[in-house]
Amino acid sequence: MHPRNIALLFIVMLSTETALPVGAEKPEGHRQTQERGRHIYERACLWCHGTEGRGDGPAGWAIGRYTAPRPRDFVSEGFKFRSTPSGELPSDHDLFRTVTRGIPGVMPPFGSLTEQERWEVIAYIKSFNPAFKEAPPIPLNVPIPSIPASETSITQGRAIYLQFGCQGCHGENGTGDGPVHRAGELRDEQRLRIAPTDLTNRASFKNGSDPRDIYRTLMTGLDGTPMPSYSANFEGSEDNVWHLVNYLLSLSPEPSQ
Amino acid sequence: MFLIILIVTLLFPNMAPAQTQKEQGVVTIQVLYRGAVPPPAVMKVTRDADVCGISMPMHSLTVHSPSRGLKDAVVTIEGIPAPDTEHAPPTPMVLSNSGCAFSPHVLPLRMGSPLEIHNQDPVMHNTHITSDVRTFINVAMVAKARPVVKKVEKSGLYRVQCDAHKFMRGYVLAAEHPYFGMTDERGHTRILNVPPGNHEISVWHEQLGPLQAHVTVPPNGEVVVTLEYSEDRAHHGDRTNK
Repeated sequence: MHPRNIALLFIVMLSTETALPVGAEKPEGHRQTQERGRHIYERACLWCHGTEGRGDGPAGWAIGRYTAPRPRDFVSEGFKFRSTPSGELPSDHDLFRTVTRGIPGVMPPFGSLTEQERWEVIAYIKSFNPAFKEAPPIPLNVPIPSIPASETSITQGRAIYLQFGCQGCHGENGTGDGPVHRAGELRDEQRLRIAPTDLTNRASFKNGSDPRDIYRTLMTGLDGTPMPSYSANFEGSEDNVWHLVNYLLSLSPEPSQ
Repeated sequence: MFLIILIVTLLFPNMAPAQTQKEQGVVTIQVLYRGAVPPPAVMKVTRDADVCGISMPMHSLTVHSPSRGLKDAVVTIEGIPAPDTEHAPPTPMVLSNSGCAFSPHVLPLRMGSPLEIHNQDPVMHNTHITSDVRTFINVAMVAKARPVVKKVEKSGLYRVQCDAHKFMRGYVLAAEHPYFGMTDERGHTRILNVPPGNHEISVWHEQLGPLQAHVTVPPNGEVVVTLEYSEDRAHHGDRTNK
């Protein structure tokens, strides 16, 4: 078993899959909330993210110093999974979603924690970065999908995929083998080599694989990786986002239940 | 150790004791490079060769002959609070993807200025700007894309790259106040309206790294400062820009 998987197995014992955080209400982020969050963090998160949130927990020896992705450094780095513009901090609900769902192949879901406990640990995580005390950025409004996944829509999505240069990283057919990746040029914020998502395997979509998740990823990008925000390119043509979403989902069959 | 030669020439004597706008001084800086100029590294172009060509020379040292003046060094006078009456100009500072390169390659600007990103190439670029390990912005710039604007709210050095074209690199330097400039072909820059007094000057160059000196600015006067990089700094950027 790969060392990363051993570390994940250890942590996953603390967690189980859970429902999406739709409508979850967060408590006030006062000191007592943070203190309760600290206790949860030390039990569930410290192993990877470290005592001071710098992504340097003891699991690092198992993951490997030069293997990406590294555990998030909450102090210095940005955040990949956001509904906010590129370069901005995530919203509280973005953090809640990541904690609840986990990240496929990287971080386990923490649905074993109650909603209250997840909000508490988020309050503690935010205390690592003083920028969270500034005015929060305005999150993107992710609408309900408005274009059915028809053949016509998928064909239009394929044309946008090529026009927007997605094949450079993700490959002509979405298998994650584009020429930029093959040249070994894709790096994360720590200059570690990373691979683009294989779009033919939706179970591996790190930011989620329902249509609204993909919409959010396309519009905001994944900070700290080469995946950029395409929001400016879709301005005034929202239908095109859904055409591209429909095409991307057409590349991978639904995971078996 | 690198060599610094600092020549300070007071062209005008003190005119008055009070520090009003009229008494502010001018700092003229010349940045020199002494030594052999290494040839630019050339990177192979791995995609979009029809637009980018088959190879791309990387930015290196641009040194004027015979003056030895160094181009594209950013000079900042440190430790001066921004005047209350002066704010960052609302005019956007433009950074273009042009000919598979960032233009300008080095862009100094005032903190608070809007940065406007363009793509003039018929291919897709992404403009990925980071401050240390934190993303400032990473936006896809498809062919004929609309400009993208974001205000630069924090001072410091920002690195610019295109993940689709590894040879594309650039820099944005955001200063806290208006007392900065970038050297021209002859290594000169002139900073106006500097409050009189003792100040530190910082120079930054992509390949040669930082350099510092001290300057005394006379009221209503002009001071000329010459700073010099030596050859042993020529590979500083190779170590820090990987």
